[in-house]
Amino acid sequence: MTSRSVPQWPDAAPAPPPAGRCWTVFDLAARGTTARDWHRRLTVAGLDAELVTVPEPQLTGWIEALPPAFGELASRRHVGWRVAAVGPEHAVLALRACAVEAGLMDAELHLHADRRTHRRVYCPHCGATTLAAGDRFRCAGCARTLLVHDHVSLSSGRYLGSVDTPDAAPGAAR
Amino acid sequence: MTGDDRLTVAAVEQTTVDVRSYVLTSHRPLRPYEPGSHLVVGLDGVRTCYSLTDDGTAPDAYRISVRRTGRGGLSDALHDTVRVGGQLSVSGPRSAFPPVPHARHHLFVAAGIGITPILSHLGAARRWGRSCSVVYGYRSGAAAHLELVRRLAGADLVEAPGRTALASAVAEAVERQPVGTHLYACGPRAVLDLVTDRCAAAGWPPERVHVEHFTAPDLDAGAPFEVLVRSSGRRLPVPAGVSLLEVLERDGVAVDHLCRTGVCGRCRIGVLAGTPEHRDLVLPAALRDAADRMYPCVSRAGTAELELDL
Repeated sequence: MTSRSVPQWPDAAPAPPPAGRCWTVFDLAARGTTARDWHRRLTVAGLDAELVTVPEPQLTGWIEALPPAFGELASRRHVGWRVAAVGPEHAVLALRACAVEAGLMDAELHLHADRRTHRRVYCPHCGATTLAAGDRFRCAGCARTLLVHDHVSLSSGRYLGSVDTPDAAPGAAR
Repeated sequence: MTGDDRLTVAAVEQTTVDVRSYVLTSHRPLRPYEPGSHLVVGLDGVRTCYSLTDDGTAPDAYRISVRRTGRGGLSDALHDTVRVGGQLSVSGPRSAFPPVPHARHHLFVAAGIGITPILSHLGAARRWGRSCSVVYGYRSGAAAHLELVRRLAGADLVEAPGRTALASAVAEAVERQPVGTHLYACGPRAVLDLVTDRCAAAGWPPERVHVEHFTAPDLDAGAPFEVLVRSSGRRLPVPAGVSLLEVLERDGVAVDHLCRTGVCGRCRIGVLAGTPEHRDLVLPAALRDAADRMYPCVSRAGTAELELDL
């Protein structure tokens, strides 16, 4: 059974509500024209909206640089600012984590994952985060073989990993 | 204290022409409280809520400030009859206006005697190093606790003498609050409407705006409806102009209550079927559609019948 902490995304992306004062719409290598459609819809509604596009090849590096960058962006905004993002789940959850860290609440976020190709996974043994494609992967920090659990920390946007073999001693699963 | 208790009036201070501050003490240790909490004060069978003005940490006394309204009622009675050395029947403290602990910044807006819970919030924010700023609207010469507010808020205070100045100060403040700010406002209904309207216009989600009413609006008589009391199976008609709380009381159904104006939240009851028409000032914006609860002192039915979990 899937944990309740794992987001369930609808097949079709719902449009953002015409709320708030200004928006930043993030197109995180999204499929189709969803982000552009959202941006256009908000602009037509008379809201000040900017569109930030991150191409697929740049996505991993963009996520790594996101915490300070998003904090800096938020510091130049005021209450009334809304954020929308669409793209693969790992990128959307990473952005959500940064947004919440900056002080935004769910009512100010409009997020949609259009696919789940990879997961950012936290290793409780070494603290590293690895971008994992499957259910089992090698930790980028300690090289242990980890199993991805159906549990997501929405505050960090990461799934939980643990050593694949339950009886393995620390360090044995290298 | 959790139930009613007797507190001694240790000091009375004339804060402004029409506001007196009362220092209430007990021989027993006083329970700490969240900023923005209130006491329920009873006198001659009448009970009213008064905000506590300290930050609530390790209180040596409970301090409230009471404005004489000139319309009779408990506030005027306190002014007229309560002296140092006297005793008051008190319950609480109760928290109905707490700070949001993860707020990045707290914007406090007070108008008139609405400064009392804001003073509590301000003191707590200063004690715990939380970022905050204050807009204080008052009638010239009638600003309760102004010197204390000035001392605590320092450069983070905007004073607004008069309603026009307050409207300008609020409009300016809500346009430039950092991301993550929560706003807390207490004052007359018109000021709270002004604050919520301005916040909505500036794009604030309602979840960031917290208001405390100290007066309730006049409500229309409403349409008649019927309730089914689950425990007894009795059906009771609620005529227009009569509250559901009154109907329940007349039928011998005990409902704990206090303000009878939809402000305090004490009379909350469960709803099993039907849709309430919420007319209270207690439910937050996100719960205005809740169908599982209601405050029968003011709220009525949006359907012909309600089944009550009583």
